[in-house]
Amino acid sequence: MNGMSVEQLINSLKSPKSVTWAFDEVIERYTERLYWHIRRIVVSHEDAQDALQDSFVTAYTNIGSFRGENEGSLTAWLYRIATTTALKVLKRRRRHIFASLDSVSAGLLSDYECEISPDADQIAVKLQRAVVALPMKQKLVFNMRYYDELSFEDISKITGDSVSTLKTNYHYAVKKVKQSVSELEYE
Amino acid sequence: MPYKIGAGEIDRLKMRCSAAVSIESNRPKDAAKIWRWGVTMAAVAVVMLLVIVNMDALFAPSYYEQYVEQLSDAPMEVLYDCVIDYVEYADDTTLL
Repeated sequence: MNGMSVEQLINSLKSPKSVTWAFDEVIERYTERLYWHIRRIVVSHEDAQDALQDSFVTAYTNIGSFRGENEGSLTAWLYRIATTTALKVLKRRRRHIFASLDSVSAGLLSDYECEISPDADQIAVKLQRAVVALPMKQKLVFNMRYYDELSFEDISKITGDSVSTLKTNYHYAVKKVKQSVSELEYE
Repeated sequence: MPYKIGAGEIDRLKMRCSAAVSIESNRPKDAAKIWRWGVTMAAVAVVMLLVIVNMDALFAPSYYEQYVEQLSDAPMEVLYDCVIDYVEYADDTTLL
């Protein structure tokens, strides 16, 4: 099954007879990527594993609405579901319903301090600390571009923002991350 | 990645997600859909029944229409009394 091409996998997902085992293959291929994507948004492992499970269940129950034909569209579709689910987790953490998602950033930063691996590379820790503090839109585009190496076109399909907006957000994110990392260097 | 994660956690997550999807796939979706459809149809039937039962009340002439009807057939004396009442007891007759 591991030798199956993405096109074959997508065709199997669209057939009611093969959807269940084909989706198992989707879980096998995408668990790690989606887990880290969600974890970078919600920070805590417990929230990340719940959001990941919800994402796969949502994807499975809505598989009939998936119209993609290639790997890019399947990846974008799964990332979109995972992103939405992760943001829902953050929305539940807000103090009141009108608060913006960025208002939970301070909480995320303190969560992150408890989630740092003791044997982690210190530069990576500083970088992640700077990324966690970014406004949500900039953080999403930075994570997907820098860590997941997705194209701006694919990120556009995930977030629904235009490519030019994403490029602007990414530009500001990189600038802020560089500034934060250099400030941390001097501390 | 500079985050804490237990050894073999990704494999455990794969199994957990696979199990959750398996439970979802075995859930009788058609039965749930038929149940929801049945509840919706029952609610529509109840609303329609209420409308039919209260048809007379819904389309009956209002109190004001009935009053105007009575006044149109009333003799001049009654109309005169009404006008006098209105002039003398304006506050009490505003509802008219």
